[in-house]
Amino acid sequence: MILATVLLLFLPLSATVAALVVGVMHRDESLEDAALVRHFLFVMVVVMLAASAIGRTDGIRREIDPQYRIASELDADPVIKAVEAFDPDNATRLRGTVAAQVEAGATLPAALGAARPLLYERLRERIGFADPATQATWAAVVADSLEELESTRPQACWRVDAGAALDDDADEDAATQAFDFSADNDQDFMQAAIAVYESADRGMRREHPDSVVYPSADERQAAASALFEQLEADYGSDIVRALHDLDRRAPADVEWSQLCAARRAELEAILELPEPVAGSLADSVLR
Amino acid sequence: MHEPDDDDRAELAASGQKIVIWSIVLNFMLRAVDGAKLLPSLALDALGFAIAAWSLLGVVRICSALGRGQATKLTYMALSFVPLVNLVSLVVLNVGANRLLRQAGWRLGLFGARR
Repeated sequence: MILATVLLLFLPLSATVAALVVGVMHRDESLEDAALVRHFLFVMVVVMLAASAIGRTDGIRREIDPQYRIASELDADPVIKAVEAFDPDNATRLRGTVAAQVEAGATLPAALGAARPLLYERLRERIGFADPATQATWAAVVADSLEELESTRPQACWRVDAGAALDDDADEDAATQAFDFSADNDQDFMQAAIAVYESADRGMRREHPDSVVYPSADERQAAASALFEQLEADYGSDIVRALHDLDRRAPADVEWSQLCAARRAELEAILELPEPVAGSLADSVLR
Repeated sequence: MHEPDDDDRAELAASGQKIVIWSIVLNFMLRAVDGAKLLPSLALDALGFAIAAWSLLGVVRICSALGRGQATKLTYMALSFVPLVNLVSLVVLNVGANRLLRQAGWRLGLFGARR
């Protein structure tokens, strides 16, 4: 709107300024017709060039062109940068979704928060390549996210955990609206997302540093068995089966709140384990 | 600058009116060329600017013929770049030019006046 107005007023304003300048410069003399037109056009071209140069500066463009401002904000955002660097296929879709939200009046952090389901699905595909420390950090963020939803919207909690509805475009809007996390949680999520993208990229290229420690198969198996038994004892076998269903199907006859609480308890128990084991198990349950 | 007599003024008004009329016709042609994408946009802009400059000369000549001062000429030139207002200003100038030309015994036509 502002840009359209500026473009509409560009010629009239330039002409008006030119008329004023020529009028003042030659107020004491009367120019021939051709000379008057020549002077007017010269000043008008100078004014237009000057205005056009000023209008191209970053600060002014941000003021008059909302699309440019949004694009600049997105370009500068570390999450968008990470997605563009490590997940270019998803970047266009994410940028489009976030830009639409910002155009509609949302702040950039809020718009990114609303686009979390888009990121979550892609991060789940990458978490297996991240190092154990990043996997554990990711698990902590997911556990915090589930805690925020557990009491108020346990079904949304399951969808966050399972990434449910993301395969179904028709339901994507509903999924996006349903996840409404705190600003702190959104911030933690975005930081963890960047870390997962970076670490997974290194992992895919087998460039994790030698200092990264991985658990032995025995350590991992022992921790997983103990965890499984504890969960079954606390929540029952139906809940544990639903939690570990590889297809992430929404269960038919279990309580959403139970499911959510069980997943959170599982993640919290995992996070108490030594980091290499915690990361490995977090990868298994969140992938 | 000498003061023009009635004949000079009528000549000025007629030539100014012709320029304005032809620049309007050329503008329509330019729009058609633009619509048909026959020329690159830079060439179209250059042609548009040339036609605008020429039409300004017509506006200024009519103003001179009508005895308007420099400030009024500059005002009409500025108004030539204001959408819709430029049409009104052209009509006002044209009415004055037609009156002058009729009084001077010129015959008015679609593409300008003839002696």
